[in-house]
Amino acid sequence: MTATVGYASILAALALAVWGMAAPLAWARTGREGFFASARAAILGQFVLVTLAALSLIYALVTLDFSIKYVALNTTRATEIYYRVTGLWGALEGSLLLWEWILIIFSALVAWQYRNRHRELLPWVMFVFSTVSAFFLAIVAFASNPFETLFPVPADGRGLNPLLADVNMLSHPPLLYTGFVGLTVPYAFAIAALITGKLDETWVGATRNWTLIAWFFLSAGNLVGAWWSYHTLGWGGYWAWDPVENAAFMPWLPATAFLHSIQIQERRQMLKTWNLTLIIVTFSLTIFGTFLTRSGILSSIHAFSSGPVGMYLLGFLAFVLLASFGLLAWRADRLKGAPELVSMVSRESAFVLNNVVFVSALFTIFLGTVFPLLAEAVAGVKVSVGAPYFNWITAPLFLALVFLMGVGPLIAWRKASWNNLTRNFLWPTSGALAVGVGLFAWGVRSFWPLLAFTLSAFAALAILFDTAKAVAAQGRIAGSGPLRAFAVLIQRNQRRYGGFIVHLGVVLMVLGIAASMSYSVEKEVTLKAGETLEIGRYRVVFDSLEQYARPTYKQVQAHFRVFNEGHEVGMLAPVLKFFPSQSNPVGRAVFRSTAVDDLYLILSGFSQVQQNEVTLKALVRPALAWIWIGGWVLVFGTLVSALPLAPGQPRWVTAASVAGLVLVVLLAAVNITWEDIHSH
Amino acid sequence: MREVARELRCPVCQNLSVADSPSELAQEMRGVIRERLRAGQTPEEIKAYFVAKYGDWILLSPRPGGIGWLVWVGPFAGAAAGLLVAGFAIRRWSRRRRDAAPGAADPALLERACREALEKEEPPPGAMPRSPLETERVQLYAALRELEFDYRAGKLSAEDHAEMRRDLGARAATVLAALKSAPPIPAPEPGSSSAGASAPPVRRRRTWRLAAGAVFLLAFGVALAVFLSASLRPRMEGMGSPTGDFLTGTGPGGISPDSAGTMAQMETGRPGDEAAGAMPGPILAQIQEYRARLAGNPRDVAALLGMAGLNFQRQNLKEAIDYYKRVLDIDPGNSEALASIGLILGGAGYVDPALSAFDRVLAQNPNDPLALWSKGWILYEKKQDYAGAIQAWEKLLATSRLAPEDMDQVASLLIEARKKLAAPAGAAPAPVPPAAPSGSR
Amino acid sequence: MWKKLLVPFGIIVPIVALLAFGFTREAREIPSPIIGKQAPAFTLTLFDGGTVRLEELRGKVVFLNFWASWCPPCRAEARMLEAAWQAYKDRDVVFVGANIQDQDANAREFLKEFGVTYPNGVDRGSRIAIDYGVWGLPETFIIDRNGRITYKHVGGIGWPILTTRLDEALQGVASAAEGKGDYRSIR
Repeated sequence: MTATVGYASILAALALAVWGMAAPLAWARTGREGFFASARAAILGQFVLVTLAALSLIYALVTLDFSIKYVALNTTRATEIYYRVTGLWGALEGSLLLWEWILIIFSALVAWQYRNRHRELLPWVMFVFSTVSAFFLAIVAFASNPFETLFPVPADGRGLNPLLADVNMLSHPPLLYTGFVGLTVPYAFAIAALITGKLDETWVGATRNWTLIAWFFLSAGNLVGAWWSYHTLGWGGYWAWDPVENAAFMPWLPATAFLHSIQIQERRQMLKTWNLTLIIVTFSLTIFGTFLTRSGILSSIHAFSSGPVGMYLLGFLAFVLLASFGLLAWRADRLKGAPELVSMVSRESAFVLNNVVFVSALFTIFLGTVFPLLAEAVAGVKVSVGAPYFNWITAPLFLALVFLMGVGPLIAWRKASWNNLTRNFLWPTSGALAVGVGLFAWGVRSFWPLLAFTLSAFAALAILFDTAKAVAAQGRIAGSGPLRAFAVLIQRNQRRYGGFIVHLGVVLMVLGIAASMSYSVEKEVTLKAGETLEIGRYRVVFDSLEQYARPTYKQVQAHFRVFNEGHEVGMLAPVLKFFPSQSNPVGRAVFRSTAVDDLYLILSGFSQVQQNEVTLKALVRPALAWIWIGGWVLVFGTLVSALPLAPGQPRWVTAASVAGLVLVVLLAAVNITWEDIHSH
Repeated sequence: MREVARELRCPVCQNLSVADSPSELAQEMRGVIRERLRAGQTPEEIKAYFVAKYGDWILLSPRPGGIGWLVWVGPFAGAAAGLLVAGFAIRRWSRRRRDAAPGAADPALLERACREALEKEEPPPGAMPRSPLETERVQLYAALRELEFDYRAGKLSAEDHAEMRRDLGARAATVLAALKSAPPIPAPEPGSSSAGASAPPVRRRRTWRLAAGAVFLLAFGVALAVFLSASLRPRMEGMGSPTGDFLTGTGPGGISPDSAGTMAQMETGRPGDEAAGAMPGPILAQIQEYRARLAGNPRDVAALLGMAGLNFQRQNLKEAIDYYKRVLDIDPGNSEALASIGLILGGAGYVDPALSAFDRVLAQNPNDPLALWSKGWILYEKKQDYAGAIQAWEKLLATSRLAPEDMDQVASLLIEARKKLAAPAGAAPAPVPPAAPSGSR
Repeated sequence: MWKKLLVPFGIIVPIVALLAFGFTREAREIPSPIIGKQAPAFTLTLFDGGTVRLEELRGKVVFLNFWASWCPPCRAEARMLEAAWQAYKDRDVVFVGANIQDQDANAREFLKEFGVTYPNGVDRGSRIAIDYGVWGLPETFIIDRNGRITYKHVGGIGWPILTTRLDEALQGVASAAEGKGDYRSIR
């Protein structure tokens, strides 16, 4: 019954999607307003139906309806209820349904929000939404149907992949998918602008907030993914440059470049072609990302089982690219402007440089990711491109970005007076150099970390100095105290200061990454009960080993006592879980996080012959927690940028936004300080 | 050791280095690296050793030789090209000076523009359609605001500030003048872009929409009905609950449990074969033969069993159960049908009904090979009752004459079962022996 | 307009073609670089005492098989390999089995269960396996009389392929370099 309702809803939604493609075309042909309203109704109707389908699948998962094959393959009677819900995105078919659901939610929101505005663009925006929706609905309906039934109805299911049985499963995929799908909105507006020829700043202005929201989710999704890798996968690292990780990161780069370069278009009416190209590339990369995960052409820990879906996604990707660039070429003459800059030394130039760096980074990562395929196709050899390569080659690019983050606040739009500029540079530069020299004296001798720390200091100081000067100026003019001046400043220049906070967050992350990558210490030893391992500033003593059986797995746990400079600071107990369906055990490492460093313990093995002997791998990673702290600051900054804080809003709106910000700060505090010593 | 291990790819895991990988092979490779380092080999030599065994694939960072140059040179070339293009573009754009402001600007308008820019609140974009002039005015005001802000924050010298203020103010003044003299654009209320003209078509629009909606709902209803009835049909044949008389049969002996498509997928995690698709010739011929026989005599038990068996092999379990049921309607004690149904049920997880089916067969014929084999299998696999399985299989070997491959298979299963019976329950399977010698790198 | 399309299409089409090419490749397989080269020397301590050295087997064709008791395809082919050994043992062919990533007791059980009589030993720490670039189980290498590796098979080798390759090796020819069957990844 549930399967029928679900599948019928999908088919009905597909029919509506096809109509949603036809209606705007009819509207364009005949000009009858009825078609316009009908196109919107089609989108809203798809929303209702797809929600119905998604809810029926969730219902089937939660009630363990094993007559549906998808439920039988992804849950068991012992699965906890929240993992039943995450089963929606735990496997291929459900994840495509989730993608479609988020897509139609965004489409419905946009169609509703702009129902009385942007009348020229909106029909084509809805056309694009319905087209993409129709594609995904067709795949769900015909190529990877989650509502397939099973006979005879099994008594119990197979269960979720144990690696996915983690609390982050609740947040990582939905956040990431929301980020990907959200980028469809600016893309739809760009295509609408191309089709209608309204290539001014209307489409950019309409989608600015939507792009920011999508970017927010994409950033958050990637951060949670890194956190999950560190926290759960138990190898001590947070980013492996796995092809699917790269595929999730690649849209982020042009999206960030886009967020910066549309500011130039808004002010100077320049870079129109560039912005259109950027957003087409961004959207194509989201399709590419989902293709890579489902096609099996590159080996990855994330890959879903492959099937014909990969081919369809590649076909759709090709269609999107060819059609979008075709439209761009068609409208090329309308895009010719007379771009001019007042001065070479201006924030516009800095933003152009920033775009160059982002696109270079994108090109580098893309080349590295598909290089194994390229090498096999061209030279017939099998090669690998992994973390050592990517770390080495992206480091200079990302450090260049850090430098630009410092330059940006110091430079004015249009034209920066050279004297003022050098004067403004003075303090941050000397501060950064002081930091660099100090670190060198303290013992930081390697080139890359030293450079990273110095540039980070430069960027942070530049941002803080600029803000301080602006607060002072504002206080002088309004005659108010610094705090009030600060609040007013933020209210009036939300994007700017929100952006500064985001940059500060990135700086913190760079600090954490540079320190943890260059100065980690790793040791692997075999210990008998009572023996000690000295690593970094810690002493780890092996206490005991215990084994026990749970309903779905068997577990071996080793207990260690941790000492720091003589006094005991806690107990850590990493675990190895043996699942019947996996040939290798799933490890659950534990770590102790402080502002200075993280102590990470992994249980590699144990001996059954002589009990109480374990092989332990221990890592001490300095400053790693700052990556997550920086991530929270980034989240906070994005919210400051996007939430309605400006004066002129109803009181409750502002109050709600501020409350939201406070909530985020509290969540961050809880997450950072929670001592995650227990593993479930 | 870590440095070398970090640059080698673990052949077992996905994209992890030998240093990071927890797998057994990676541990062994780390041991090899340690030994060789102690023997005095350089990291280059060790990496070359692994490349000689596994190929270039084992290196996580591609070698610059051959096609590898592309991935090392490409990024730099790309970045350099980008910088060059951007540099030239910025130079060209900043050299292009627009002509001087058209005509002398009215100083009063200029001052008014500058003042308004700082004070006026602009409505959000898109609320009303703006003429190009309006849009330009809004942009110029925004630019003036920013100019003031940047000046106060100390980014501009006084001369630059004054110059740009003049320039922007003049352009704003020109726009204001043009706006004053241009015909006013009717500012329509938001929401009714063609309010007047829409009254008559409103009714037509509404009925049209209504009609479309109704047709659509009808189509949805029809689709729902069709699918609903399709999914309900097997239920109506009494398949609602697993208890009761489910009786199917299986094909010829020597069935490997791994042949069940989805059920195997569930048990072993490997995809079973989807049986949809072309059938090989001989089977097609057999099916036609059976169908012909059944057309002549619907109670032909052998043909029914044959059809059931073929369907079971091809995992059309619903049809298989159908045929077995028909067999049992005619011959309620048919052992092949009973035992095979038990196997299907047991495979789906309904252990007790399966066992009761087997026991029914064994009550009539205690040595029935299929029943003994299936019972042993279900006990072994689903209930972990190794003693029971051993008993059933030993009896099978003792009393029946099987083909040598089948005897082999049963013998191996017996050994497995005996091993599992002997090992204490709850022992961790195949633990990883600590391979690394004590001490650090 | 068509000229403007040239640049973007010129970039898009090759990329899509490359990705489509990816469908024809198997990402997880590693081609072996040691085929056609001298087989690395090894010394294997057998289960029943005694050792086997590769150098001592020069002049005969060597059938080297890596296996583990927990690997289903190894189990599936064990009896067939024993039968092959019986067929070829008088023809200048030596079968050698190397047990890796396993426990001695389980390995001995395995040999007893399938009645394996050809020389088998434990490859401690998988040193020999790494020397031969093993990544799947079971893996079989055929080494000719001069000590060169002529053929590598990843996964279960069937009777037809086995006999063909051994016959070829006895005659000193090699028609194929690598083959694949049902395999499990090494641990």
